[in-house]
Amino acid sequence: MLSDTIKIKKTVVSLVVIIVCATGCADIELDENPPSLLSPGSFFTTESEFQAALAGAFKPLYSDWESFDYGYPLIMTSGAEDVRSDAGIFRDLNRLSANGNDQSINAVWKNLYRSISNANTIIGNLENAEGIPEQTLGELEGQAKFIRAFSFFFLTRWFGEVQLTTFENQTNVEELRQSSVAEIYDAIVLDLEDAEEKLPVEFAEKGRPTKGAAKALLAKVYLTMAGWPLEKTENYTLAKDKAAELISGELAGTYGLESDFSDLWKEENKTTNSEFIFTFLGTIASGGTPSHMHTASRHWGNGEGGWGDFYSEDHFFNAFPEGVRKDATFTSIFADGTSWEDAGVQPHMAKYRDAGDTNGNNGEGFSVLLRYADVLLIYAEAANMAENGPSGAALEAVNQVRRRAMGMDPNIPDAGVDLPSGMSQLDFDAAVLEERNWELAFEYNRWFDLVRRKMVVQVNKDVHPGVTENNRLLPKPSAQLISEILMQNTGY
Amino acid sequence: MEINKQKLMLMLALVVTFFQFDLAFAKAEKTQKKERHTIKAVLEDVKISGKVTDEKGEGLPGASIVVKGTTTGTTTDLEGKYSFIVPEEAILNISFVGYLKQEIPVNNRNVIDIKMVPDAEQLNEVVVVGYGTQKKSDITGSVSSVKAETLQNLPLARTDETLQGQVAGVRIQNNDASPNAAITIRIRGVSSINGGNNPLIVIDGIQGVNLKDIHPNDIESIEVLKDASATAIYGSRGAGGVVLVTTKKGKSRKPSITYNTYGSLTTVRNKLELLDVGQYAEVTNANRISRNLPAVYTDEQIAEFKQNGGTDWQDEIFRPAYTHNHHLTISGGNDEILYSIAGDYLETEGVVIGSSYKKYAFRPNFSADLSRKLKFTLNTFASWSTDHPIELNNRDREGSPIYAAPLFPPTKPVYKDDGAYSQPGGGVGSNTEYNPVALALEPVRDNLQNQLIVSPTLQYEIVEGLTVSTMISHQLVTNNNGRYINEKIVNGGESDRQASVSNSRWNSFQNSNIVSYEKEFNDKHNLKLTSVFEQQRQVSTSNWSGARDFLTNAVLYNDLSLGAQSEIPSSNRTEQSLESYMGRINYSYAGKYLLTLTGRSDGSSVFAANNKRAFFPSLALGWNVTNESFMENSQLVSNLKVRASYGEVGNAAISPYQSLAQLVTGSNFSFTGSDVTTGINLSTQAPNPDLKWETTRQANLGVDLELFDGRLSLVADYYEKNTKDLLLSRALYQASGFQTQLINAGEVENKGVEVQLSGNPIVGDFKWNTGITFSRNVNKVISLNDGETSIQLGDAGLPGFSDALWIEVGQPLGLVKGYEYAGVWKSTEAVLAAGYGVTPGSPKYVDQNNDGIINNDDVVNIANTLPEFTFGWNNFFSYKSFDLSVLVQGVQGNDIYNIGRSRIDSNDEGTSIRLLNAWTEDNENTNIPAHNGLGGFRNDSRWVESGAYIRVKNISVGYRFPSSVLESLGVSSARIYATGTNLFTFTDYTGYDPEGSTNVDSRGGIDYATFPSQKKYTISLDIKF
Repeated sequence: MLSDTIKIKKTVVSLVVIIVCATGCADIELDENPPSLLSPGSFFTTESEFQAALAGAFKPLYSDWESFDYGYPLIMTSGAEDVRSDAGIFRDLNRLSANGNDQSINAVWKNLYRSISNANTIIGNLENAEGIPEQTLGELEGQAKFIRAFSFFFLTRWFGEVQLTTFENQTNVEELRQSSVAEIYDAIVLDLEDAEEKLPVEFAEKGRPTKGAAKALLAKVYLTMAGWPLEKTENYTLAKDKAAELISGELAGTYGLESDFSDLWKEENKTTNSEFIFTFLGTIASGGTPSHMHTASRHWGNGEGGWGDFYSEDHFFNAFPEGVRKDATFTSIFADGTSWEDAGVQPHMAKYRDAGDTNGNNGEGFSVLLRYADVLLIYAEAANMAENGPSGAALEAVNQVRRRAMGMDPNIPDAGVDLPSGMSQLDFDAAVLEERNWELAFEYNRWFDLVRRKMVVQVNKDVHPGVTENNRLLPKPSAQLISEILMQNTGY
Repeated sequence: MEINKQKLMLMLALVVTFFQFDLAFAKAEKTQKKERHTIKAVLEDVKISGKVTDEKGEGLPGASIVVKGTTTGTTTDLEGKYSFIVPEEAILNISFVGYLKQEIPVNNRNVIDIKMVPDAEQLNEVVVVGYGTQKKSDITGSVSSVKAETLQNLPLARTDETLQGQVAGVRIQNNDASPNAAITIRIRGVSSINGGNNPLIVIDGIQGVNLKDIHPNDIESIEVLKDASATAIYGSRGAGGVVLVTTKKGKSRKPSITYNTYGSLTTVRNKLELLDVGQYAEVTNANRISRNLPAVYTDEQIAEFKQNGGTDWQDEIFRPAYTHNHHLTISGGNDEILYSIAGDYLETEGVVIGSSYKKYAFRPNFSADLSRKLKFTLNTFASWSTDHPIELNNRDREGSPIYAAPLFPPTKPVYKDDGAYSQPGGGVGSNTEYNPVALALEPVRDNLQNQLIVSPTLQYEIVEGLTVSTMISHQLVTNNNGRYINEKIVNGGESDRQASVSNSRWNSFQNSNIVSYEKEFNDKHNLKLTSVFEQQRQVSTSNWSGARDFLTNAVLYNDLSLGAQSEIPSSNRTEQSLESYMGRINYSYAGKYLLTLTGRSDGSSVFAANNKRAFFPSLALGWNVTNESFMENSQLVSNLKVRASYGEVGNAAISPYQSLAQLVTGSNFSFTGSDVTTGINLSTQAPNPDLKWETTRQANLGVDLELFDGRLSLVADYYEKNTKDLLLSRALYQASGFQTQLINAGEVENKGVEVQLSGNPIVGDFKWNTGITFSRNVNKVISLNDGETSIQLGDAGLPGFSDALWIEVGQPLGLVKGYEYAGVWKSTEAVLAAGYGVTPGSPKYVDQNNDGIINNDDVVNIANTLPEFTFGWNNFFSYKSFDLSVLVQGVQGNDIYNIGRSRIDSNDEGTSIRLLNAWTEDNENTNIPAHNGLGGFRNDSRWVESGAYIRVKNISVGYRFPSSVLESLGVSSARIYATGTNLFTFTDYTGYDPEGSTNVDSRGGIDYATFPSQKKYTISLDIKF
């Protein structure tokens, strides 16, 4: 019995030891140290990190069926003649009766600001960069500033006065009052001027913004500033001069017109043609950002296999000048040989039709946002306004576009196609605007032309009698409004 | 963060030492016994026999009779009889659960009849509560016990489903009836919107197990903890209620072998009523013609369809399916060691072709009395399963065959003449729904899961009443999923072939250390103290890799390098820790007045930096009225107890790292249109350093009543639960780059009544036991984010229904909003209809504000998907060797948003029989719009149906073989029974089944392609050796 008692005592002692040990065996850590997550506090130093962040800043503009990869931005230009949609989620924009809960508006607003906030974060962290050569650092900064300017340019053209966020103030947007349109354009110009200086003439990767892209965008910005609402007509000269840098100046020869208009819309040429200046390029590679415009813009029936979310309009199609350009702009005969009239639908868009390799609804299509023909037409319009009449250079710029549209060599004058010299300033201006409408159909162009040239009511009043000048701006997303900080546009 | 290896080694060393001297101790005892036995062995052996009876003189089957000091013994048969050979001077130890042990010397007798005396103490049932047990009479909280027999009467190999209709306050919903489905268990309503509402499952003290994986035959008892007094002890994990499972342990020394098997045949309970092929062709033509489009089918084709028939796609994908299960338990032991080893095998075919599930499980439990005071327990579980699921609730080329089958045109054959699957398109049917047979058969999905639980416990009684125990458990769940999609569904090429492999591993470590002390003072004061220190840590890892464009289908997903294009792989690791202190005081005075106080402090890694620790207190009072002197002479009332409790419980609903600032990986972009640049960007979810748990405050008032010596008993509870600090996503201004932030805001209330009534109305040769459970729960949203009166929860799952689901202050969760459908515009209303831009025959929606347009201002609440009450009625009849059990179960007062019907009733691609009744000028009196109706297919009340049902869940007829037959076979008992499941369902619901729901809780009650429920016919056999 004595030995038993001792054993029991020993047992108790060892048991207590075991419990003490067991309780201490797992060193429980209540602070979280995520093994698989990156923290913003310790990122943004090396070149690779900045490159990854740059990709992240571009991504919101071309991903997830919410941006230029799909129809939302295009539908936000459907108040113009070229684009039409009767789909439930799109038709309010098409009929100029959108409200602040519109799906497209909400998605595009969100993604433009996502791109801006990521670009802001890159720009604001550049001072923490370690071991990045000055040239590379400049290219990073230039690309980030380009995409920030690009996003603000779309924001202010659609919505007017918006919050001008920076790395410093974006954490406190609840108190950041919307900026005037003039202030926003000042910021855009500043970013593009810096980008134009720091970006190289060429990147091996064709989807990156270059010096030429910054210049082309700046020319377009100047031209837009010359129109509504700022109406800074002195900017016509700036626009003319900036466009000229791509035509005859510093970057002459970097870009040119493709001889065959239809080649522009072939996926196989998307990185090799000489005309594209800034393009979103889709890919079906794993983890990448595929295009969806081909599925969305193709007819749903007649063997086309699309969704027919949006298309063009018979009026526009009928008014469109015949020629190779028209043939490459529209799908008027469907895959099974049926014409759009026989199928009982509208003519469809052909510019997004070819998406190369596809995987389901994902494709390798592309969306061109700046191209050389646009620059030529910017030059023609700006020069005519700045110089009170069309110069020979202005005439040549627009005529190159016209010749190519008819399948001719852009550089060989042709009296049958060319605008004649001696046109009045007004007639030439109207002809250039019309040329823009044909040449840049479905390319996020016509709506903004209508706005800056104050033509929204004029073009729409017969089809949509409710249209007013308030329609020049879209409603801002209702959920984003903050009293006395971010206010709704007039009329909504 | 790794477990300290040195400490572990030290501990192991100690355990080993400990075993050594304790085994030595045990050995010494044994040697002594043996010596005594050897001396006695010289005596003569005699054969004795007799009968063991209860206090009423009825035979007690299964009583244990052992010769004292030896392992020689037997158990009584069905009639309580026994016989065996013993030494003539032996002393018999007779024992039976619930009765006092007896010691009877043989004294040269040959016949010894023994009458057992009930053990008053033991009759007072012991109930498992969190971290301990309590006498039933001392319980102050709301705890429902379910006994093993109730669970095992159903031919099911998963425990969750067996609880349906058995416990008041517990709703079991077979929202998905596929072979390895995750069905839903809700205790006292739904309180969380984003944090999950699953109860915590605790098996033998191990937290975080899945009830689905436990075989009912492994279970000794289940306790469901419902009120705060019972659940607060689980702190931040208790808000959804707690289910405590106790598995079977070895009981008696004589080895017992129990074998159970069943085989079931299942068929789809209800097919959707669809057009036959001829009708379909005619309706399609009528539709096209009404819309000024060319007809699709010629008259000759239609005549041919009518003659030859078409494809019934439901028949093509559904089949009668076979399930069988074997379960074996071996248990026994000696004075020091008890064991129970259970194993089972389940093979289930799904009623949808291509779906099946197979599982092997093994549950060995051991316990050893290492000394009189020291007990060692080892509970172990291992399982291996293979699931071949079909895709559910999804559309398109990798969609659900259940969704596609009712929509695919019956005019198309399964296979075309060239042997390929017929394809969508051709002007009829949906373009995005693929061949249902191909969707069911072609994708390879092999989901392998292994589970392992090892849980040793040491328990030591320091002095009488003071016990310490320490438990460690390791749970390991690994999943290996392979997926291969060939080109046959789309009739495509190599580029359509896709494969992926994903692996995950979840490891949970738990260490619970319990000190409990129980003492009675002055015969009146009974005090029980329990304190716990507990640590838990979970580590999850996962990875995924995939490829496409395979040059051959031969190797499936087993060699991804054969895919020409590889997908970007991913991997992830998360860690989560919990450190808790808990205390409980149970005090009772003279068995009349009861008090329970509990408190638990949880420190959790998932709580944000500023809120790392949470405290959850509770208080409960009880009054055993029957123990009062004034009740002493009551003939009617045999037990009456009144209970009241109040406390706070939490829901640590946050996933790891959700409160932190994060960058998002995989935000890739292509600058080339071919390759991808790896990208990161800012998370759109803003950090929140104050993020914390959801808190549920619950008050409970209950009464337990037993009348007529326990022949009728009633348990009734009323509760009020308020859950605040709900985990909600707050929308942020997007100019910041952020879109949302997780915050704690808002409040949801659940009030309810539960009644559990049971009784033995008829006793004697013919017996009837019956039990009724009734639960009513009223749910209401009290508040949301500051200044917010509603939240749009988003997508109901099909296009056109993206704004259906809402949460609104003052309304219950599970709210659906939409237009109010008012039938079809009549010809006589053409002018009115034109005012809304539509024509007669178009669907008519109520213009709530009479402003002449149907827009967002006309949206109203159209459905509530949470039930008003649920009930179950359980009956057990027996007569001699025959028994019959019937379980009726039902749900009332809930709506189902049957958006699946919006597709089959659609006026362009529809297939439903109802389309025969579409509006025409000659058929004005209908609710089905015309083929060319305008403005159809809106989010509206047309798709709302009552989800109420009453169902005969289970009917079972059993026969127990007489022992005279069995004895010669060496079998101690055998029962054969036949069961019908879901044979009768009374409901108006037109979908596959009213329990079907694509999602649950605040997103529940939406049905578009869930796995349909089944009728099941089963034959089972139980044998005990």
